[in-house]
Amino acid sequence: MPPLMDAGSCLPALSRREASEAPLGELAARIQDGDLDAFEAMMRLTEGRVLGVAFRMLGDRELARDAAQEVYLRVHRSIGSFRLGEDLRGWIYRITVNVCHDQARRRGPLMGGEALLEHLPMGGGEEGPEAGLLRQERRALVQKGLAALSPSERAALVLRDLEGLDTLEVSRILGVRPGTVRGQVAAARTKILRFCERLLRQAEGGRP
Amino acid sequence: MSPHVLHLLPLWVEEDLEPREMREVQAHLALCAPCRETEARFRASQRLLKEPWPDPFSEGERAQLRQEVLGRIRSGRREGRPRALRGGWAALAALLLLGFLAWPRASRHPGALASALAGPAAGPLSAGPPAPLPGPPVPSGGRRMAPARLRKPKSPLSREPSPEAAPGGSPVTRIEFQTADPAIRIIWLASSASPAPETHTQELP
Repeated sequence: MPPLMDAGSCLPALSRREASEAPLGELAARIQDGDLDAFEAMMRLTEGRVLGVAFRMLGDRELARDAAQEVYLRVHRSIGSFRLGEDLRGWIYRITVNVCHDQARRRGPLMGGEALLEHLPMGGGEEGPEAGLLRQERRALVQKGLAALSPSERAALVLRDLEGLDTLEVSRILGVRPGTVRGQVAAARTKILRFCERLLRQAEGGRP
Repeated sequence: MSPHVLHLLPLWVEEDLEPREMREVQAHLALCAPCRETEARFRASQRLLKEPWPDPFSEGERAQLRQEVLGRIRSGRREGRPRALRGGWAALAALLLLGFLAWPRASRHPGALASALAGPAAGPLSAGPPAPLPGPPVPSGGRRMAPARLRKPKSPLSREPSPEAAPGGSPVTRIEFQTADPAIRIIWLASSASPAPETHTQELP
């Protein structure tokens, strides 16, 4: 466990406003020094992505919240082992993927898609209700497709296509070679394509 | 390489190929209608996949997450303090035990440790009920012993005014250890007046 913020800290603690504006690298040093304000600022900067990755990987809001909580507790426990100067965001992504894999192992197969729709805000307020429903259906379709992937393919696809990281970053986060990431991503995109086309044909009344 | 580039299209659509492969695929697509059709399907599928989602977590839920995490971290710190206190008590107990163990040796050399401790009158080997003493002494025969059991002293003072009674009538504490070997029993006589506790190893029939 890292030292407490006010227990022999050698760095002056940041004010709340300063901490929220500090870049992640600087925050890492202060978190290692036990600064809880810096930890909170780091959470504000990264929680959207952590929750988003967990939600896409687990397909369930409650599980994603639990996973995010576990991610930050692990970050706090292990921040002493983080080497300053390295990519803190990538390190947090790696913990997130590991936590999601653990959760998925405990929980079993992922949720399909319809149940997810009940919790998602409709979005796109300017469009009509019909367009909103179609959008929701498309989201459910994508989530079903993601749920059909293997955990490693899902992690690679979420990080590469949904988080927008490049192949090298994804390979570092997942601890595999770039060629492996490319293979996983290619397989995942092909499965998503087939899955979506099959379900769209079913919805239109054609043969699956 | 096959005449078609279908296997490269999933990577082509997001420009994940090497520059040389990108050029090859581009050249092929310019000439191959089936591959262009598949490429269009991949692009549509990727658009669907990457369609932006509304954030499923409101700012209130995020704030709650932060509070829960920070609360658990703070409570972990508070739990750490009693652990430290418990550690302090354990260290104190260990220190007392160490002093207790060192007492017989110190009584052999008066003025050394004995003076630093509570004094011979308050020593654990003085009068009173037999105190639990440190582990059994090594038998003179050099036989290996299993951990000994502390047996109830056999009426050390009254019923058995033994020849080991200390001079001056000071009480003697008799402690017997039965080793794992039933033929060996260790009898330990301790008195505050004697310079050091005597130990006898006795072979039983």
